Amino acid sequence: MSFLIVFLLGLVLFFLFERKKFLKLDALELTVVCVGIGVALLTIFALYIILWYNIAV
Amino acid sequence: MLDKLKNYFTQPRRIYEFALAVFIILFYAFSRLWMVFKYGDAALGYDFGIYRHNIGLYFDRLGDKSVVPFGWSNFSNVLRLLGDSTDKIMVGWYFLFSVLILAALYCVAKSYFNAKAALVAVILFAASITQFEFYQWYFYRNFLALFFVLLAFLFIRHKSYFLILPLVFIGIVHPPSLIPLGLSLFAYLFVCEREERKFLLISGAVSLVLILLLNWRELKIYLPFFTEYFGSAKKVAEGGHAEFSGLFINAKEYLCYAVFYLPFGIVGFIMFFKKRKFLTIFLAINLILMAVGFVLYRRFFVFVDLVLIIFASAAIFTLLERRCNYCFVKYVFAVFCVLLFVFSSWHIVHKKPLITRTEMNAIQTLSHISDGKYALTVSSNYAPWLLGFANKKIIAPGMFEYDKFSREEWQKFWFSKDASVRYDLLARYNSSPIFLFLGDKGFGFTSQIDKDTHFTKLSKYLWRFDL
Repeated sequence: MSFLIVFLLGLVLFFLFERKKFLKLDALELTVVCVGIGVALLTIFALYIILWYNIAV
Repeated sequence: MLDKLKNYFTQPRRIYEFALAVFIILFYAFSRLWMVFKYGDAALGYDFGIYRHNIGLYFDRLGDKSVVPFGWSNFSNVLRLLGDSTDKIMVGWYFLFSVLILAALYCVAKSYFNAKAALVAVILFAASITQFEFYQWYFYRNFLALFFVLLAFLFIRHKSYFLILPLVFIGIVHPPSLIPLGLSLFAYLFVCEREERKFLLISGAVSLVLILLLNWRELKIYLPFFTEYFGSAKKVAEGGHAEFSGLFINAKEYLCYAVFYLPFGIVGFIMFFKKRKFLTIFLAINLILMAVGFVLYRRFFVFVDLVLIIFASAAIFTLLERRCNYCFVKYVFAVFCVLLFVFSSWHIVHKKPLITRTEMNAIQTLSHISDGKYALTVSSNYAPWLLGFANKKIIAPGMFEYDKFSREEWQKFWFSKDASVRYDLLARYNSSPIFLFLGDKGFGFTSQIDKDTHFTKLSKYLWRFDL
């Protein structure tokens, strides 16, 4: 389930910002790229939230 | 759709490629899971227990300012919030990333060379003992960084600004892994085309700013290694942090493990170093960092191995392509592959974990004992597993927050003939009972306590101390 969420998040983002490259990639490349984007984005966002919370509270 | 599949498999060459891909995936899965099935929780390397402990610690104390900043915990916290268990993150996601690394390598080799070279790269990677050892040692942060390094290669090739994400991710999760990649990107700026330079400058600058803004608290921990020790692993080790050599294989071991494809790697490098400048620079930077003994330099063998595999695959592909009419070359390649997989399988099957299954069971029984807050080990070899599985506060030589003894005091604890010295030292914890774990690597400490009435033997490896 978590994998699916991560993958879909990456897929949506990559589709939104790199539509031309999105259409060029094959299924394997797309999977690698989308999981990578999803994991990286969620981790960066988690750190941002923690940092914001530590500074604000 | 069915017709397409039918057409695909009616071509004999396609069937051959498909069978080869299936074999590689099965072998890769076998190599990564064999020890887990054989030895259970004892299978994976030294840091396994530490990561297990940290997942729980950082999730339970989410947002606590007093905990030491640990970028990797953001990755594990997200997965916990999405509903994954500790074991799923420890084994499931770890295995998933090992598969993603293989897939990413295929994509990178395909984009830098072609699909056939990529297939050869995947064969070499699946059979690489260096990569198997890297997986087995369980350097989770470094392992994630390896995947994101490959992703960065891909984004550089496609000139996508998504490059910022893998760079920032590595800078958060394992900053030392970003050093070779960051230096390579910097050096590449001087040789790349003007259009690419602009893209790299923007991506690099944005990533650097984001890493500094988001992860400055963890970067501060690494700062003394550069300001006081100038990044030298030797000097850091002299300062009491031996683990900063990278605690991985040495050059001699690497040469033995890579003996089959290293010559092809060198040939591939000679053939393509001008055409694939970024790969060349990345390889050169890693070799330079290893030669000067930079912090964690031994871990850079993994990056060197990766680039050499890509170069070797290009060399092998070129050889096969140019000489494809000669059956002899094909047979030589087939024999080469068989030898490679036999050599690799032999290594995997004979690999022993750092801790035995019976020792692991003894550690896990500690978590079921409710009385006593502390567990002590006289050997730091077992400390990470105790931390991860004993569910007690761990006293271990030179490790973790509950070690109250100096080096001299540990010497007295280990070797003193006077039992009262040990009682006095353990009395500092003001807690009774204290459980002792004495594994096979306990260097004969059992003989010091077996006639001592304060120590009661519970099982082969477990003792109980009462004040």
